[in-house]
Amino acid sequence: MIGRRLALIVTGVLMVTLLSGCATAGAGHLSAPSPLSPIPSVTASSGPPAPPPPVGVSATAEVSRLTVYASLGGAVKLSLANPRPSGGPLTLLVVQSSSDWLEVELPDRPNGSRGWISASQVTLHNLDYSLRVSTQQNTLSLYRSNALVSTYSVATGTGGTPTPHGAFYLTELLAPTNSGYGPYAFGLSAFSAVLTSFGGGPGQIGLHGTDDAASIGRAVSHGCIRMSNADITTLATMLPLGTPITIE
Amino acid sequence: MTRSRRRHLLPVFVALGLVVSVSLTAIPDSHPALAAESPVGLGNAGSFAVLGASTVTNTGPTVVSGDLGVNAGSAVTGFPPGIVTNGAQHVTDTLSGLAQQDLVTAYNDAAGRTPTTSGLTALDGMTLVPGVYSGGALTLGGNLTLNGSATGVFIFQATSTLIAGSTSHVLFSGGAGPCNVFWQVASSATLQTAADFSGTIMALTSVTAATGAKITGRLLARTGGVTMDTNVITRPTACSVASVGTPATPVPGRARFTG
Repeated sequence: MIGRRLALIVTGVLMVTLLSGCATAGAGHLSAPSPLSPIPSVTASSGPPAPPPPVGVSATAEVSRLTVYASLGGAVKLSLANPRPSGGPLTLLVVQSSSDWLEVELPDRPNGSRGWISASQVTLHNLDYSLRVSTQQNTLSLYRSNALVSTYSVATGTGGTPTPHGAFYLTELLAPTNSGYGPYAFGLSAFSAVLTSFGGGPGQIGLHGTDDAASIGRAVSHGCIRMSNADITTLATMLPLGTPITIE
Repeated sequence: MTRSRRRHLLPVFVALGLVVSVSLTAIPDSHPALAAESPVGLGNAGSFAVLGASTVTNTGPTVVSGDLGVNAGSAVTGFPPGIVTNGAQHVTDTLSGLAQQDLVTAYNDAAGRTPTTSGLTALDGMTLVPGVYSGGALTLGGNLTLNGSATGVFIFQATSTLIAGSTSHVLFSGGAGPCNVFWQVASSATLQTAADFSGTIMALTSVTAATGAKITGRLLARTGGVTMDTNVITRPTACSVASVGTPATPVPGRARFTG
């Protein structure tokens, strides 16, 4: 009796293994697409629908110092420490790829700086979320796969210390130990065009909470983007580093 | 063993036989891989579709998709009429030097993997699952089917030559693809006229692609040259598998943003 049961169990396992292999082959699984390549559309598949294409790709360093080249096969431009000085992992936003090299946005002045890194020294992740800030409306909109999720009221820079416009990304996430930034503060790859230093830092723009809730919705900051502490907490629990943020 | 027990175990043997017949067609004495192989890291050599040491020589309208390089030789001939797309020529420059260094590492990595199956010669008609396959002089005169998932890795070790005949084809099933196919050749590789070949060839000496041979992969030679004639050589792309990023982990610290 035991022999019969054993035979049936083992047979079942083997047949499931065999059939699952057949099913895999029959389904014609597609190779995972390059994060920078168009995802092929599948129209005749009986499986689940293909996920929407990512809105961006982040590259997180796997080495203690990441060498950045000025161009493909060109001279060394700079070397970035990993982790970053703030203690978080060095994560960059990929602009484009050329074979096994990646052009990335750099968290460095001037705004919009780019360089090339070896793909073998980073881990890539697709990004679903993106942010869009309006300094005119003092709003921040959260998108997932380019579909609007929510819009928040924020504070942005004054006329004298404006929030810079352009395409940036989230470089780090701090749980600030000093007052004024609320429970969480994202660093951006953007830098103030007016302040070359601030509070011991290099004039880097942040996206953070605040101790001054009354300032939300107004142009009152030194360039940072302030949110309510509840809203920044919401974003901190969902956004990966590298998430694109457009300020306009 | 009693007749009753033999009857009970019969379905096991039938199922086992089906699995083996599907997985390892025409390799009666081989066995499946015990552990999944990781891909061979190519480093800077990964961007090259063609990389030679002494020379890179072409005849006819060859199309190379990917970088083309030579190091430490300086002779690249036949471009044009050959063309390089999705890449550039690197003639004994920094990148081709780094690529040759990384090719040595990759070659040694592939050569050092423990074979799943040894003693192979002709690969014709085989259907193989991911693993490491070794032999002396490997030949392919017909179809070779590589069956596995998109992450399945196939490593072939030839302690002598690799010759793919004019009617040879490397086929894929189950999601497997040329990204993770590696041919480590201890002497030279030859792809004969009109061969349809896939995978990254890492030859200790030289690689020759005869007239009309089509390669989805790379032709990499450590010490000798790469010779081409009216070929289409396409470096595999879409090899990176990226998962979706997870929420950032906050780091306690003093914020120094502009506020």
